[in-house]
Amino acid sequence: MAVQVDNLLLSEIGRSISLDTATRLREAAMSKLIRQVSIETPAPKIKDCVFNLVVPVPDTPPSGARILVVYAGACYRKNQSSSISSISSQLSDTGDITTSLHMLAKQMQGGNFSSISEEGPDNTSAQAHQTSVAIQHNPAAHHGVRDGALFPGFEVAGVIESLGSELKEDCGFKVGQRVILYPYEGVPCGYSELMVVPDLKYLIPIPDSLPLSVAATLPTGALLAQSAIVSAHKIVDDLLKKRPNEKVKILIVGTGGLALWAIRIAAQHFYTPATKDKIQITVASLRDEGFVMAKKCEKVNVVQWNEDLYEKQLIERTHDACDGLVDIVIDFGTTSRSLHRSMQCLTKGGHVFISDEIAEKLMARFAKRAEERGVFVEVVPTGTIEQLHELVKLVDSGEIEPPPHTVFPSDQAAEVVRKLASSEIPGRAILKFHDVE
Amino acid sequence: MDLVKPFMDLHVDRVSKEIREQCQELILSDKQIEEIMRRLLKEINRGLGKATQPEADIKCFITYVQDLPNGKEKGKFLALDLGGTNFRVLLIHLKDENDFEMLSKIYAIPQSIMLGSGTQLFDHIAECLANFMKEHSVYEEKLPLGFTFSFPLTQLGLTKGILARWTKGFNCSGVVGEDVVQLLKDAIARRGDVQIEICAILNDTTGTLMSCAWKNHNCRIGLIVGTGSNACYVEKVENCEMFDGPKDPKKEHVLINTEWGAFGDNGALDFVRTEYDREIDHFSINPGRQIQEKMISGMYMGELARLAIVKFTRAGLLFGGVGSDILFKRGQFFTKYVSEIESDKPGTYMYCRDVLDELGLEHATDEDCANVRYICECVSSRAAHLVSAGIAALINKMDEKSVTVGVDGSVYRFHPKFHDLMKAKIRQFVKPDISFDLMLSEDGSGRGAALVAAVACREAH
Repeated sequence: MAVQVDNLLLSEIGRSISLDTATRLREAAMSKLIRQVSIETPAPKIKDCVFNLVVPVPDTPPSGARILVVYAGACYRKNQSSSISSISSQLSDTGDITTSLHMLAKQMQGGNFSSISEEGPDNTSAQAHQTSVAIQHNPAAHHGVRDGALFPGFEVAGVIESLGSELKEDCGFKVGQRVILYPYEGVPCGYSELMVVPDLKYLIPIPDSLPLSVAATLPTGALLAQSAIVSAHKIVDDLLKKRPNEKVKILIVGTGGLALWAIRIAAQHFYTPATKDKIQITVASLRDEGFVMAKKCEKVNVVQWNEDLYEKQLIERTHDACDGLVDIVIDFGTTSRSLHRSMQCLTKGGHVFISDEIAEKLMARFAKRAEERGVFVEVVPTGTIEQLHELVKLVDSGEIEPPPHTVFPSDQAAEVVRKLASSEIPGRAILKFHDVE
Repeated sequence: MDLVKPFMDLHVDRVSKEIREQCQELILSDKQIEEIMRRLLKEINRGLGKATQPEADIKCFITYVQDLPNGKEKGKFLALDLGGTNFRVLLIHLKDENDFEMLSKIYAIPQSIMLGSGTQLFDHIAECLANFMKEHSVYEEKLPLGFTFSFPLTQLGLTKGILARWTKGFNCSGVVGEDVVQLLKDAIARRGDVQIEICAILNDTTGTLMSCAWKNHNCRIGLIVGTGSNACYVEKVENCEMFDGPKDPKKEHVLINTEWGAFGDNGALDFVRTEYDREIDHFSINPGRQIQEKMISGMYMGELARLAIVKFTRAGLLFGGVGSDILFKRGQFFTKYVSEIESDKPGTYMYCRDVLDELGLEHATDEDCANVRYICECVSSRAAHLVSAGIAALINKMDEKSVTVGVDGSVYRFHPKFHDLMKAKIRQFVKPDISFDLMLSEDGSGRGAALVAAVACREAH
């Protein structure tokens, strides 16, 4: 078994792996345990949302593949389950991998969660955490969420480590190939060093010319932005027909990584020879550094939405910057406040696209106001795998320039999330699990 | 009659006894207000006196504006408005008495420029000005310009102002001690494209007064309660020992820019300052300076409320003793939250809950909301009453039978009760035989600057 793993990793992948990584992986594989980072919905105390777990090495599904995770986008999981959170909190408190291994082994033998809680070093903290999980927290309380720097999603880029036993030679993929994973329904609840995919259709090959760390920013960030822009595009086309002599105005809120993707994709969609003089794209920057980030994208108008200003001042400022009302607002980090503000910047018949994370609550609350103002509040749809394939091509060819990103070691995930929560990292943050490039 | 009381009564029963008691230090008694008025008047007289001005908290800078609008001004004028939260360029066409046309544009000043070099700042201003003139087809014209510069200036003439110090978050290098009119002229000259005749430099209080005086000829005081706080008023030249301009028997008055935000820097307000005020000062960009401003203005009001809320949370009096990272982070409770929370109908907490959700405090109870609202009311009422003490002192000093006060600034504009709080408190402390009114200035920093330029042109011809 050990020899097989060794041969598989070293000979089949065909790339050099650092000795430390290989040793650690071999040790982990032999003990059938690997490390997993889970990023939950940001709580009022940001430190409570990143958990380091030790999980069993998953078996390769017969029709799927097992991926060696190289990069993962620092996104949080949309929904959190109480039991996972409780157990995770318990494990994260120890901070020691040996103890974690021991406790997990006990859990596996015992087969129930409560035993962990009973034997934990601090029973009170586990119970307190259990209580706090019961409250539905508003992630947009964090600046980075409002700015589109921190958002729910799942982004993995890696190398195929093994293929399912039922797959044939002509399945389209091979061991050692660089891929990204489309975030299908049912993705794992965290980023582990080895990850299984039940069906090859969710894998998208990455060309050699596209850096894998850039590819890691595509599956949720770029895809969600693309989905928003595709929806907006339909409206733009309609408006250009109805009002051929007027500009169509689009406002994108935020300058975090997700919002920056939207800005660049919007420019690629709309600043074409046929329509460039008929489209105005304005970015609402929530902080001063964002002003500079947005300005790097040419032809984009910027308005500063300093959060310390009164709402009326911001609305007046936006009207001024956009030469009046806008037709479309895209706001990934929607809050009650930003939606209210957006609606006051929209022309009659205008559309505001919001994140689906809190859409249900907001749409119920704002339905009457939207009707009165004659505007439409819509949810950014989930991006399709076809759109993701398209994005890989567009970014690889240089037609869309990716936002800047920074790579961090995966063991710094908690610190990275804390910084994203306050928009301290320009562009995207990527966690690195293995060194294969 | 205290206008705060009826509103407070409607929900004060839900305010906890401990919080009400601990907020008493934020409530100014009538005796304290009278003492503040006395000390402020003394400080103003020290600012007006040649021998005492160097050590005075309230510097009473001469503005060199000696004429108010009479409604006969005509022509096109440019205005720049730098200070507070916006940077704007305006073009105003005065056509007839009370008839004017105005175009304006807001430009952002990134923090990197607010904290960069003076050259960068003035080049940015010149670029915005040139862009604006191109957009509005006055690129080829030579137009008079009024420059509203809302920072403490030592004004040496109508078109010469030495920056005394930066406030309101600005801190550009190479500007303190320099003539900002010359810096702007230099920046425009570096461009070499647009032609400007800078006719006046003024601060936002002067502009506010001029803008209101154009409509109401009784206007004698200009007041700003916004990002900062300051006032100007009409003083007799004979009282201004620092006035070194030409003596003209027909010009018996000059506008005085009090710069009263610095009142208390020498300790005159220590008898009413709290631990929250001291903490705000300690962590500010200018510790030890602008003490009154830090008790009043929009830049600090939200933080004042936050410090009280944090103290009570840690004491277990709010939110079950459980706060959030955001609540505990400096600068995250904005002044607009104070206004929004106080905009809720009595007994309802819709806006309050929205704010607390944004702070990660979804677990707040109705009692928590009532307590938070009470804290906000104490903070904003104190601000209103401090400003009122100053205005009442000025009105009594001028001793004119009928006075209008022109007011501007985001706190005055957007807080639901600030006007009423001020009017009631001023009435209480102004001499009974004086009638006064508070008038919201319409674009004092912009139109007022153009009017100063217009009046300066009128007098020059």
